[in-house]
Amino acid sequence: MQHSKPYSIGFILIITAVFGLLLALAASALRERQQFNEEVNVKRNILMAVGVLDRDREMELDEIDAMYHQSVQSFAVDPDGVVVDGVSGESLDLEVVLQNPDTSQHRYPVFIATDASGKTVYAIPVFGKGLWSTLYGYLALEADLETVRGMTFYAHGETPGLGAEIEQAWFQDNFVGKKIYDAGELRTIRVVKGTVENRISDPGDRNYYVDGISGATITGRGVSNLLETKVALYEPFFDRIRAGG
Amino acid sequence: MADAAVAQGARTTEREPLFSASNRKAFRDPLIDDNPIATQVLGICSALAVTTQVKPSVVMGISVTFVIVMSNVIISVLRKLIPHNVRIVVEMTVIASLVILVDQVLKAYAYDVSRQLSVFVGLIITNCIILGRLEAFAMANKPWPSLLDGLGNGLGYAAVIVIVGFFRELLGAGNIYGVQVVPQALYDSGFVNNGLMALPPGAFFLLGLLIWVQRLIAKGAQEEG
Repeated sequence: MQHSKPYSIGFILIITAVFGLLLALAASALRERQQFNEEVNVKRNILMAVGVLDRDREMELDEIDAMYHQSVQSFAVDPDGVVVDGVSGESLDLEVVLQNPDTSQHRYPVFIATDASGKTVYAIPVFGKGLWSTLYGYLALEADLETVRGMTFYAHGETPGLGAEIEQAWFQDNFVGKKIYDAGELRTIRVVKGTVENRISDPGDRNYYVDGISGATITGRGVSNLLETKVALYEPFFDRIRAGG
Repeated sequence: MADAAVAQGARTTEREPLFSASNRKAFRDPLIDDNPIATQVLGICSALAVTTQVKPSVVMGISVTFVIVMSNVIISVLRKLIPHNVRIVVEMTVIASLVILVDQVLKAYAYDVSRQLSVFVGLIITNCIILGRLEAFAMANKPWPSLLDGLGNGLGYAAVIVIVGFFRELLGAGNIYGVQVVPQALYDSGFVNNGLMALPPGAFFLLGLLIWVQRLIAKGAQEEG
């Protein structure tokens, strides 16, 4: 059957409107739950970074939420490293904070938990450009504030099988035990091409390098950069704690 | 309206029984004999990508089945109203909307699996099986046979990816549905998981073997010569 042009146009308009409405309804009805899921995913990553939650452990989202409230505390520090009262870490999105041109207004979130021996461990959000996308993760430091306790990435848009390997346990576990300070100076961890064993000859230097992902050199470079820039933001705070805070 | 549409399958004159021979055929054929993956070799991309474990395979199978059934029924209901020259646009609108719906629901109620499936849920839109069924079947048949056809094709697809996922998870990780089945004693005595199975080439090998088996069972699927 041949339909007229106005009929075709009208038909398409109606179809578009009906399905558009349907999707809008679905999206707004499900938004709250989706947001909850995303928040819990972030909390899970903080828990994994500080070593409270085992990576392979499967848990209900509600349980993770409860575990987080039980074992993690958060606060905010200003650019001079002074703790700001009355601001929770969860309420701050570091990416949004850094967009404010007035640096004195910046507040950086810090998350703390207690390790098995009763010492405080610290987690900070890190993010930065990879190859295609922004990588988001958490870096956790031991009580000495120079040894990495854990590293996670929870959101990115890198190539599956290549850059997306940063989400894998083998890559993240690479960071555990590495150092971010060298004789009191900030020295970021670099992602090498290939393996640390083959590329770095000085055993002392190996503390500052992690194995790279083949086929994901630029993502690796992004990881190095984001660690360097984000840790630098927290240096005044770390200095204060080291000085006996 | 005496085009090829009516000639095939659905008789319009008298009420046919709910599970008439042609309706049963519409459901049964795509399960084995005319399986969308094994015979028509469609939907391979997602079959390779999501089948590293059983759980994402099952969720993907259910999602694709839902999208095929719903879009088949919707297009079949509208088939006489859809202007012929813009039918692909209408079909894509319906498929895309349903896929987005599935994606949203997964994000809300199966967050972990949705993260695992990542882009492949969205890519159901480009799964040729679905557009193929709309063009080949739903545009020419009544809603009920279209529903059965969609169900058959969806389950045919799901069956293949779940089988592939089963073997990849078993051989590649020693698990089934996330539960370890290869006993620890075996690992202690030197058994190693097959890393190839965790990678896409592993799915190629399994799919090849599966198609071989399917050709032995299915009638008339062997190629001439």
